[in-house]
Amino acid sequence: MHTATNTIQIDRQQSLADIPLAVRSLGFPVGIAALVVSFLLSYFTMSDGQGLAYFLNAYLIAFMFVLSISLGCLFLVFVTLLTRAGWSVGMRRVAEMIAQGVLPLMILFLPVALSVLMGSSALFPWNDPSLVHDSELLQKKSGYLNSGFFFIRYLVYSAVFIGLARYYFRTSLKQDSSGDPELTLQMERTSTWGAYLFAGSLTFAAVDWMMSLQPEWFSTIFGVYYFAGSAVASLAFMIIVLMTLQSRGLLRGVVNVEHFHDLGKLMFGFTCFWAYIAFSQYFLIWYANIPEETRFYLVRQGGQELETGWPYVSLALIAGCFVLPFVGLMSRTIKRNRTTLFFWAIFILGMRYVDMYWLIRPNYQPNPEAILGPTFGLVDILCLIGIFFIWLGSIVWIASNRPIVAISDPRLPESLAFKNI
Amino acid sequence: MSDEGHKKKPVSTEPVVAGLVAEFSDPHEVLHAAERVRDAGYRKWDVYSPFPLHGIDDIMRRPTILPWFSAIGAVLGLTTALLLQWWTNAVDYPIQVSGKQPFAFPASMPIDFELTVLFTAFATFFSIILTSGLPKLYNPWLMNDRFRKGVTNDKVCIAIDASDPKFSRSKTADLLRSLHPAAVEEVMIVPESAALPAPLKIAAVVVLIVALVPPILIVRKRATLTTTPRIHLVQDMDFQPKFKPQSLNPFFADLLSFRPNIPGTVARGDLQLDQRFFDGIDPSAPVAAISNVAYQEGEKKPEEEKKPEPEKKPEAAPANPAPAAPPGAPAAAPVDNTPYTKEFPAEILEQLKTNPGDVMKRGQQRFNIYCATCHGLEGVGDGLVSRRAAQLEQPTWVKPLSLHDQPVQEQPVGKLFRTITHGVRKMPGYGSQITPADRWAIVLYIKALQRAKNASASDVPASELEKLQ
Repeated sequence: MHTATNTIQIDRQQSLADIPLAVRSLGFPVGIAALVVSFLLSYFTMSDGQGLAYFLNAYLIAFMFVLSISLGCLFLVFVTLLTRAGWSVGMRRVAEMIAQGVLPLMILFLPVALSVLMGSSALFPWNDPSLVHDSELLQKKSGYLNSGFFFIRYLVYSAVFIGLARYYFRTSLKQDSSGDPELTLQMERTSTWGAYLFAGSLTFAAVDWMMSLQPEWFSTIFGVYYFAGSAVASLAFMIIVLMTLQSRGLLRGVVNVEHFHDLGKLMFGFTCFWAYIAFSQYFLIWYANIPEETRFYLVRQGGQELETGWPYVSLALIAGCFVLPFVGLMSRTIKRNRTTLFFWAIFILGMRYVDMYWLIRPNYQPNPEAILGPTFGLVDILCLIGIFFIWLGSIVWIASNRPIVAISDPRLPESLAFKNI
Repeated sequence: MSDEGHKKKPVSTEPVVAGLVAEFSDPHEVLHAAERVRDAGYRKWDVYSPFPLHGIDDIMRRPTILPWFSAIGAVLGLTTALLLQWWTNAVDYPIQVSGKQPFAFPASMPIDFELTVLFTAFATFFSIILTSGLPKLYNPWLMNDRFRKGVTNDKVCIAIDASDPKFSRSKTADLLRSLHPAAVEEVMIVPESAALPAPLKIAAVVVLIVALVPPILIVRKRATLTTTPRIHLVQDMDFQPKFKPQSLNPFFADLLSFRPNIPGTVARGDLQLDQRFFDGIDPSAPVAAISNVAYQEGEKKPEEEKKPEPEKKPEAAPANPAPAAPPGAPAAAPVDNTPYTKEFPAEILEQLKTNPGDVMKRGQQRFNIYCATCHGLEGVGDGLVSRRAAQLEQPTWVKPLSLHDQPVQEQPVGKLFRTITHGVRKMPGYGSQITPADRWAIVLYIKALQRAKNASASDVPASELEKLQ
């Protein structure tokens, strides 16, 4: 292991350009091909128009999962600036780069947004006029849940996410060449109101894109739930990316065991935070006995005469998203060991996908008579591969030829010398 | 055996060696010294310090089974919590609410957590006391002045027990001296003084016996038969300064605590002069008819109990006006001569003039609350209770009449009002639950329901009709 000291010389030329061009340009063709195959597969093999609904559902799961990584990294960028954290400066540029992923993601959401605008209710039942006509609750909500406003909100979220992500990346790059410490202060000041914009947009985006899949249902904590998950996902992804880059010779000496230890601690902490939020949501709804609220968990946990297999997914979620990582990450030794930390990062990231699956898939119910159990197949895998590759490809494309460390940040020496007690 | 026991009885008064104590001034030296003692293979030795010595645990390598007790406590606590909640919720007394499972594992987690922590804490606490040999009434090292003064002040001591298999007076002392202590001393004790003093033994026996008194009292109380509470734990709640109904009150001449009404007076709100409004009776009817009603009312609806059933049978016979039926009508149905009012009381009419929508809305709301459970929202008799009773094939259940049946349609409003007030057949009276004004509002709403059921296209406003077509 490397031990960082103040004397370490950083290679100012370090960037993703070291990765061969062939690998870098692999993302787009693979991703687009996977998405097209996935769409055709579901559209032509599934009967009576259910193909589109299934494809969109799988697409949304993959989309929300990948989006949570980018948004979580954006959160890491501004929250470390906001707290004037020193330890994280060495890795902040990587987080800034991953946050750039919101740009392709907002374009990738366009098919969903446009389908809603054109009146499709394959994904969002509130877009079905006959359903709204029958439900007083949906009529009351239609002032918010309508296709036009939905599309406008999508544009607003896109503007906020992309605007914030681009702002930090650009300002930070400007500092690379000018070395002006004033830019750090400027980013800190922006983070104050930027945090409010981010929190509001993320909350409403989660409500629009996931909670409204079951429009009668509501949970006031839902935005925080998605946020907690995205923080966990981004920390896990950061660990994976930093270790991968180091294995390719990048960032050596900039990020060391002390930084990984801190990332592990944060991942552990946010895992507990997610569990706390998830349990708060569950407990209040389960004991409040309000039918519109309880039905969310009735499907997922199994009610009186309901054995669908969803209860097992729910239990797996409790175990995989909280109990196992909680026990596994508790020890200091595990967080300071590359292999074990890498394992838990992979595991936790995988469980983030399961969480999104658990939130979104139960809303795909082609048959109103019987509740469909968990389904998973090639369409889901191809959707995940597709969105992930396009996203990663775009990040590499945006980030290549840019320094991978914020070399002129005034707090970089502090980050290099950082040591846990 | 008895011989040996006899020998042991007189405890030796000769001093014996209890062990060796080495005193150190520098805590860091103790760490090295402890390492040497450990490596020399001693087992019954300890380090005494007035402050925590970091790292001494690792050096002494004392194996402890304490974590295992904690773990057993945790498992017991978790099992208890799960079994307790599962059994009470799902087996012993399952309650079903909105189709949820009686027992849901995630919902049980707070109690699982609490009991796990509680049991773990108990197990840990009591096993600490057990494994460290507490309560320890006698410690030989305290016989040594240097130890007693040093360890409670600023010195650290290593003590090696004479019962250690490797202990030898000379060799152990040499070892300790080689560790550069401030001093090494032999601790001598008189075995007699180590024995428990006799007064203490007597005191312990007395305490044990006294401790038995409360449980014995409780057992005795439990074994006796009594109709009154055995123990009054909360005195001021059990004996309240108030008089209960039917009890004696020496304050009054008649000794009754329950005061009768004073003749010639009416309590506030009990003056119900408007017979039309409060009873649904037409006050302009002959006095004889009205007094007859009062009599029947005292009997509690004997007329209403019997009457509507035969009324149902001649349904086929058209136009059988139930109220004030002319004598000689079909069959031998008991004639209902009650002078029901055929119009709404003045109060309701007044409200209908000023804001008719309010009364109707109030009536609809009250109807949906009180009546619709059996009669259904449209009054055809398909309420949830009725449907459930039919599903269970309850033999005692009498299906509620449809409010749109011809006889009900023709009932005067006063009769509807009185049925709501006093009940009919299986239907209980709602007089005590619904205020008269609300009862009249319900009657109005029933009339509206009946009218709506028989509505034709011509009743719909032309503009609305166009929309429908």
